[in-house]
Amino acid sequence: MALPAAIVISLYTVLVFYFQKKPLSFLQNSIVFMIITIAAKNYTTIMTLQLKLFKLTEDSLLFLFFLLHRDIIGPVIVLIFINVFLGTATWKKKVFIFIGMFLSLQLMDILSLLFAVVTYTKWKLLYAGIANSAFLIFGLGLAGGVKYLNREHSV
Amino acid sequence: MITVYEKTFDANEWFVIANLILSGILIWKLPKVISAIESAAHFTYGIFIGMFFDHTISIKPWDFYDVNDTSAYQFIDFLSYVMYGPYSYFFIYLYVKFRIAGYKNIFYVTAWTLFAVLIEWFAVKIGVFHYDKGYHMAWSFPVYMSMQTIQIIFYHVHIKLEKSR
Repeated sequence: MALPAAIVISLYTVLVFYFQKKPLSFLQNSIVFMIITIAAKNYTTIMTLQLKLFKLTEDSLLFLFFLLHRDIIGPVIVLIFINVFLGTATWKKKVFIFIGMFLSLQLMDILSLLFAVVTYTKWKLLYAGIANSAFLIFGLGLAGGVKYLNREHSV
Repeated sequence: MITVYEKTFDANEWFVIANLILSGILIWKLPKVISAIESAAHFTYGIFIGMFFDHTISIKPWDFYDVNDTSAYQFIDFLSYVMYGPYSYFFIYLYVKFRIAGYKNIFYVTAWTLFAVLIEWFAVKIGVFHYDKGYHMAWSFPVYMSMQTIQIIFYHVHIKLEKSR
């Protein structure tokens, strides 16, 4: 049940991103995607291996749920967020999309808990929420950075 | 339980640091053949791929190997992933510079794969990687080959999309 759910969510997330209007170019989106994924990998490895704030499943199939969450769903949600955010003029809509994408990330964390993909030892959903917000804001910062790199190129 | 292979600052750490410094100087000094954003993308690609494999198959439940002095995640491990960045940058740098096309792609990928396996073999010898948990270097050949092929596809897709914009 967990793995099919993760595959379906991954496909929907990727499809939404593929068809949405993207103010960022392919290369800019690729850089943001790769850096967000690198950050997510370090975040989960440090949290589990070093700080032991939560535990990862040792079941190989459930681990695939974790990989889809960490390497596809999470980073692509951040990409969807920054592309909508940058293409939206009003702050009301910007706040709305932030809340929407934040709730999507939180929902993935709740699903990970429900399917026992992760077990919180010294961690809470509230902290996960702070981390998810940080990822969204970090994504926006990266988008600013890659836009600057492109300007450098076109000058 | 954390496995400790050694505690000294020696060959494996120096290998990572020397690699980063020398490749950094080389990137800085070489004439630019690709744009800043392309350089950033291809540099990041190497780190992204290195981290993807190491943070996937060298952690539980699979846990096939360890990196550097202990099985715990250390700062030098992070640097050893950053070390992949210059290699993927040079991979595409030379690809563009020598205008690799057609069947030359196969020779180019094969040469780089052999070079990557050789570097990895050396890294194993000096203790950057520890394959005592069941990983076999034979797997590295198809991994490097497929990741380099994907990088070439990534480059061409970007060029094609850029032209159509």
